Amino acid sequence: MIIRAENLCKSYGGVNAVNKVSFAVREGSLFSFLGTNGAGKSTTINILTTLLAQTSGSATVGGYDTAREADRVRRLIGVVFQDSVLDAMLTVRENLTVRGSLYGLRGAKLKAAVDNAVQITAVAEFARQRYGHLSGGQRRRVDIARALLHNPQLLFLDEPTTGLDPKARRDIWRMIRNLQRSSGMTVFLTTHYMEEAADSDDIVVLHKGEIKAEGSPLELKTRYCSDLLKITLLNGQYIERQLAQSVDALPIIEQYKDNIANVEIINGTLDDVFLNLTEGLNNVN
Amino acid sequence: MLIKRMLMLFFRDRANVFFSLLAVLIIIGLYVLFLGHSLEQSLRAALGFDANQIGLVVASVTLAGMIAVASVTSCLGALGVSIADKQNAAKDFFTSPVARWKITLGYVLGSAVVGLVMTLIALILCVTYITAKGGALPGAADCGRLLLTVILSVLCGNGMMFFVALLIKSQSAFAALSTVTGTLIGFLMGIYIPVGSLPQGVQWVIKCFPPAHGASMFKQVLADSQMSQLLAGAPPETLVKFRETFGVVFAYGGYVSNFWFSALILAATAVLFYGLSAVIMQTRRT
Repeated sequence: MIIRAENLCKSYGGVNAVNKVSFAVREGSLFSFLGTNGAGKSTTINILTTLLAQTSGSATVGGYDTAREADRVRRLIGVVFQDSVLDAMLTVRENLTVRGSLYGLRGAKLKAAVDNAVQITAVAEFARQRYGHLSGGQRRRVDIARALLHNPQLLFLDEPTTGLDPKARRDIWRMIRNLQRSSGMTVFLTTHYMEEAADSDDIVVLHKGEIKAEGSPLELKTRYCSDLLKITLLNGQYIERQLAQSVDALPIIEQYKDNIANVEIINGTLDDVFLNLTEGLNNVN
Repeated sequence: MLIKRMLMLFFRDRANVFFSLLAVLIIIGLYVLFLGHSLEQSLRAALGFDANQIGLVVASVTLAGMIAVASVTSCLGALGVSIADKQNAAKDFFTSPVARWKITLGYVLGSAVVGLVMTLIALILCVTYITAKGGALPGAADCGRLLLTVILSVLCGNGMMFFVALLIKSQSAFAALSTVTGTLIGFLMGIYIPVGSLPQGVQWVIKCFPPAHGASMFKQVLADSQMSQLLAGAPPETLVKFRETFGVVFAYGGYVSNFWFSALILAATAVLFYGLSAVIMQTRRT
């Protein structure tokens, strides 16, 4: 496991932002951390990325304690923050060069690292432009290039596509997935877009500082949402049934088979899982 | 690399460069519009005679104070980068393995370099103007004293401004600080009104304001000889009084400051404020 969090707590003046959160992230996996605003996602990420010390509990990244061995953790991780943190007045290449130097890279090694990041993220065509002059999608690519400068084992993406248009989102995701497949890097994602989490290996849903559910997308859909069967009969009658799983539709269809005009099965989505968990509504039960 | 970053960020942001020199530009504007004329008239009235040297003395005293102002405000302007970083780039730096003291050192040295560059530019422009107005070019010894004054003024101003910047968290608070500094510094350096014309209490505030010693040192190199020439025939006590009035030297009871006393004040202030900053940073970490 590349990340282990055990009974992680963080409180601010008696208010628990994160309360006894425990989870693990497998090496090489795409791990999604879902939650509404104020759920505790950013606090957890800040602890894992060594920006914040927990009140109690423990967290390790790559086997290193985030509080006591922060420097070692920092060498393993790359972070793409929700907001732009690069310098608007510097060019893409200047930004990457400055940031690369923070990892002790100098001279030819630094240039090679910058060239590599530029190539991987396909930002060469605007590498000499100022970061502040780029579009939202281009900036995101550069943010990712910055996070990859030192070949991290673990990439944190904090709502990486928020505010981007659909094409830019698609392009960013293609790039992330290609990267993950080619390098075997672990990706830790927080997002508001449930469809982006659909390809995850594992998902944790956080609500009000506590874990509400965890598992693969399929497991969560099976547990926390239902499919919907819609049948329109020849006489115009309309039948609607909630299904625990799609296969449960078969006996119902069999029952009406001589009288069916139209059949539709709508699968539950991660949006449903998320809403059911965070709004306390569970249609299955 | 962090120093280079700071220089690029500062000098590419024209608004930042402009506002960090706003106090200097205001002094030049006031000098051209009426300050120079008004001081010259007061001087003529006080001396009871006219001389070409009067304009030169006024220009030298005003511009010497202006160079000292540049040493403070340019450092403050450069430290604006560190304030902006608190809201943005800091978390990026803090998730990388670079030691925090190196980041801090980058800000301190970066702002000091900006201060040195801007103050040297101001010095060269002022010396050029004074020379064009009939003043003598500084000799080698004076150049050495000017360079020392530039370095100490910048270290002192940078140390004080860095300490203040440590206490500031938002850009709006920093903007307010810049405005207040830009407004007050001309008075605190004794530029707008000669120090000796102010009430005793205010005079003491200026005498105890360390960067004013930078202005005093610049005046001693750039204006002292013009004053001596102007008052060549006057009794010695007139020159002493004249130097005190224009803030070339400061009198503390029976003791009158000199170049090296002021240099010591600047150096000690720099050490004090860098030390205080180090203590604050250490306290915050634990």
